[in-house]
Amino acid sequence: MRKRSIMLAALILAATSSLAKAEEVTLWVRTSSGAVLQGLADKYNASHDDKVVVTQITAEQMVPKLGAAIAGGSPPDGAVLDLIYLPTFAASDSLEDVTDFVKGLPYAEALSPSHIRLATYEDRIYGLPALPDASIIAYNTELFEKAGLDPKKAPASLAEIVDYAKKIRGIGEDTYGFYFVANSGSWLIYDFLPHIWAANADVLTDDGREATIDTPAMRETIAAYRDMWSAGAVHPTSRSGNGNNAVEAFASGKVGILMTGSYIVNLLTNKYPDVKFDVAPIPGPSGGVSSFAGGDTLSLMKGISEEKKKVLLDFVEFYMQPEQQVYITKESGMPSRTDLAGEAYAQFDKRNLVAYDILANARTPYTFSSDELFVSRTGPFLNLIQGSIFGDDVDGAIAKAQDGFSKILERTNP
Amino acid sequence: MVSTPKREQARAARAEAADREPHGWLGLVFIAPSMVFIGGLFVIPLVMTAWMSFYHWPLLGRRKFIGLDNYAELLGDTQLWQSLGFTLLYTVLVTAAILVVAFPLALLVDRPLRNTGIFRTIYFMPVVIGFGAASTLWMWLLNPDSGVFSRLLLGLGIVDAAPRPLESFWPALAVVILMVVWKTAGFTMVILLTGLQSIPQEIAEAAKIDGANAFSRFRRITLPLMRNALLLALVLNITSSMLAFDQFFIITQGGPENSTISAVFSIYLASFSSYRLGYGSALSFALLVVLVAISSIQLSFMRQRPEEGR
Amino acid sequence: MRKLTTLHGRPASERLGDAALLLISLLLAIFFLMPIVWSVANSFKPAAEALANPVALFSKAFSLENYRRLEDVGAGWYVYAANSVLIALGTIVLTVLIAVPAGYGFAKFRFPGQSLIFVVVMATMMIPFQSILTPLFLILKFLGLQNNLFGLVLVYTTFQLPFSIFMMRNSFDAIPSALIEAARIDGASQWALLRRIMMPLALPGVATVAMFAFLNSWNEFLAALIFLSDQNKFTLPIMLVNVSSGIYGIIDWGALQAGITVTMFPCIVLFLALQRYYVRGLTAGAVK
Repeated sequence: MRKRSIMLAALILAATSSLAKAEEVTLWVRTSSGAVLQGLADKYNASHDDKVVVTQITAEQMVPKLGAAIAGGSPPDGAVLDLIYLPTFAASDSLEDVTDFVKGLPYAEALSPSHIRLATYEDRIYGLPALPDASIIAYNTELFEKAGLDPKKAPASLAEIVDYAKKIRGIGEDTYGFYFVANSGSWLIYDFLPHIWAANADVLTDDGREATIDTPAMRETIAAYRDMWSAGAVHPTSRSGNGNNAVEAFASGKVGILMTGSYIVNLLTNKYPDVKFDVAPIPGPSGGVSSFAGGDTLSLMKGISEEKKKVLLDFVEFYMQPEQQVYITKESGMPSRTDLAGEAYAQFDKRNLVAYDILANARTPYTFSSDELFVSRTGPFLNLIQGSIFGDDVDGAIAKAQDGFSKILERTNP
Repeated sequence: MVSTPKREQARAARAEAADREPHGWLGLVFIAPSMVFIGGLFVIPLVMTAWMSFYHWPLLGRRKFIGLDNYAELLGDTQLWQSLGFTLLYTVLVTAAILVVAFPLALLVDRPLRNTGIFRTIYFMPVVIGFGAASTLWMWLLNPDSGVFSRLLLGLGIVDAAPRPLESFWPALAVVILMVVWKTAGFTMVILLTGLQSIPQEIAEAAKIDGANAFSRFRRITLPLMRNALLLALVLNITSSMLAFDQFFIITQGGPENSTISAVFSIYLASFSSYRLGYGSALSFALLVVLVAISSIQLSFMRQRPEEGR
Repeated sequence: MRKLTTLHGRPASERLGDAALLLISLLLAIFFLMPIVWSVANSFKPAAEALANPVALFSKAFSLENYRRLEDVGAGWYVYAANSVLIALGTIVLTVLIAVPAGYGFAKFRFPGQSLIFVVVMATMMIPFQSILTPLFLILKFLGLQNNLFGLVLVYTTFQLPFSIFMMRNSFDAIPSALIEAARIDGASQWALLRRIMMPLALPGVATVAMFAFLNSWNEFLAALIFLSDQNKFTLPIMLVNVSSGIYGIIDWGALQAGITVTMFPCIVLFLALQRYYVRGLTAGAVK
């Protein structure tokens, strides 16, 4: 009897205190990650009094909208951002410092290292890994067989990719050897830069302050792409594509090798179970492998109230739990914690592990001008790719890019 | 200018009223609210644009005075010159296309037949739809997979494969021009129509009796008497084309290969995507100078006209 | 005179010519009308049917599913429609409230600097608002009106003012002074004069001003794109572009058609109902 009344009192207390404190926090998410984050928020909201409200922002509009909102003094409580923008926002004092929270997590050591590195500015941490992914290649094993190639042997160098792509193109009219998204900066850093990295070269110096465009690796990679393009082995929508048709083109069975990311495995097995494919790391011009460690980071906006901060960090702890990590892996291909890989991948396709294993060799450029250098439609990187691969003047395009990078870096280096 | 006598009359009436109006200063009270708006949200921002263009002014973070650096960069910004060149090319082509379509439309609906009113309404209808809605509508029409155009062309056997006009420069430009002609020809038609209707009937009749054929009547009478309406149509079309944004932001999205980024689009990208408000202001100011120069030249043409014509 | 010759005694060749011109007029009418008709027709088709035959005008199965799916876009289409309505109404009311007295002031009073001020007001028509968006953004931020529907109303009103003041000044100019004089002799106050005599006569001008304020604020895209960052505050054109840029890389064409239809509908209805006020505004501009 007494026990029951205590329980009742506790219940009432719990109910009233939670009623009084129920918070609603808004979280901006780019549309490409919208479904996963909405799923996580739904799970969270179902078991908590506080609510996480996910607002999806069209991917290309995320940076303009968030910038305008921060500058206008009406930012959301938090945002799930492409990790490459973290230095920009952190350096402009727009994000909440979460260093102590990160360091206090029992699994702090296991958080995706690229996410933490990009979220760190002047030794403070401004974001938490949400959805990691890594770029890889996917290839159609049926087309490999048809072209007389060994489907168990993935291309180990860019030279082999060129060779295979041409052979696959030889199969017939509407079969193409190669697909890469050539008209989107964020896709190109993801899928193109790993070739350069695999040869141990880079487009920026280690401190990110100077540009190093003109390297043998860059020239060899461009030459290989030009070779495939002029041989007609590249799918025609590659050139003007912004990524929207890439998966469909591959799933239609008309593309041999697709430059893509780790999410492809579960996406294909769920949505296009008939496609026979395998995945492999992205090779360099004459060997070696690398990858772009990409994905989304969750950041809290500067000036968030203590109560809302608590809710968002609670939400982070929630999705870091094994159960949610499995869900994240299922939906987007990779867990945010490296110590749960065994559990997260256990029930899924083993091909997922290819991307996971490559993470040790993966890189992410740390720069304060990601948008201007790489993503911008008018930026030097996109112009370099378009000009050197589809244009006539390779030397000119490289020189122009070096010049363009240097000018921007000179202006934006803090 | 067409109604100079009417304007004189109005001016006289105004003077007359003012003479009898004991409280002239009361007029200031009436116009005061509009001055607050135009001053606060037009004149001040205009001055600010000039001022901001001398700064490195990030959307987030601290601003820094850099003198003429933005303008120096602007001169060497090849992408900017390309987009300015593109904007001029688009302006010339789309203005020509609109006039070529709108003039016959105006002649067609100027005839005294019963049903011209209906046609006038129909030709004009797309004008009232916004550029945003019109652009998304045409995105769908042009879509190779589920759009009407590719289906029609395939169905009629004109093409073998669904056309993908947005994937190369000239077709992309052509379909945008087609869309803009569809959306705005009716507007120019109405302006030209006012010009046509201001031609005194007697002159045309007299020329007809003199035995002038339709073509020479058009060339000798209609065209010269419509010069002002034509110039006005030209001014309005050129100005709005130089400022085009919606159709390129939505339909071509600047592609293929950045070849269809208009001047206003590059201002948007600089200010709100790259967060460079100072550089964006310098671009705005440069565009402003170009536009005011174009409008002034055109307006001075219009002013010369009456003396010449008399 | 003209009419008589049309009806009687026309040679066969001329009648043939008329028929040809009618045919051309009809073909052109199809060109101008069909995109609108197709969009509306497809908005009522089920997805599968729209994909199978987008050209068909009548659907076998009339369906509202596209409109229902539009409810799931962001905050739901009715939120965006409500925002657009609020902005349009706000712009109309504010523009009329400011432009009518200003037009009256310019038309019926004489005060120092009058012509200079009027020239400045007209000159603002030459300067595009696109070129001052960046400082406007900062000013709205300063006023605490960035990402705010009312802030957008202020901006839209400002850009309607030059044309509206010009329009209203002409309307008041056209009212004969004798009429005002007579009323004044009868002892009417300034306020009564404006309200009883002037306003009714200037009403067509007000209708024109209101209609332009509606169409321009309803359809505006760039300023709304820049000044509104919160998805609950978007307007219909912004919603359309978000739908057309696709979610998960797939564009929902059916929902897009429904959105386009919702956006176009008020403009077309208003234009058909108040056509003469619209054309009046255009010709006023043409004659200036």
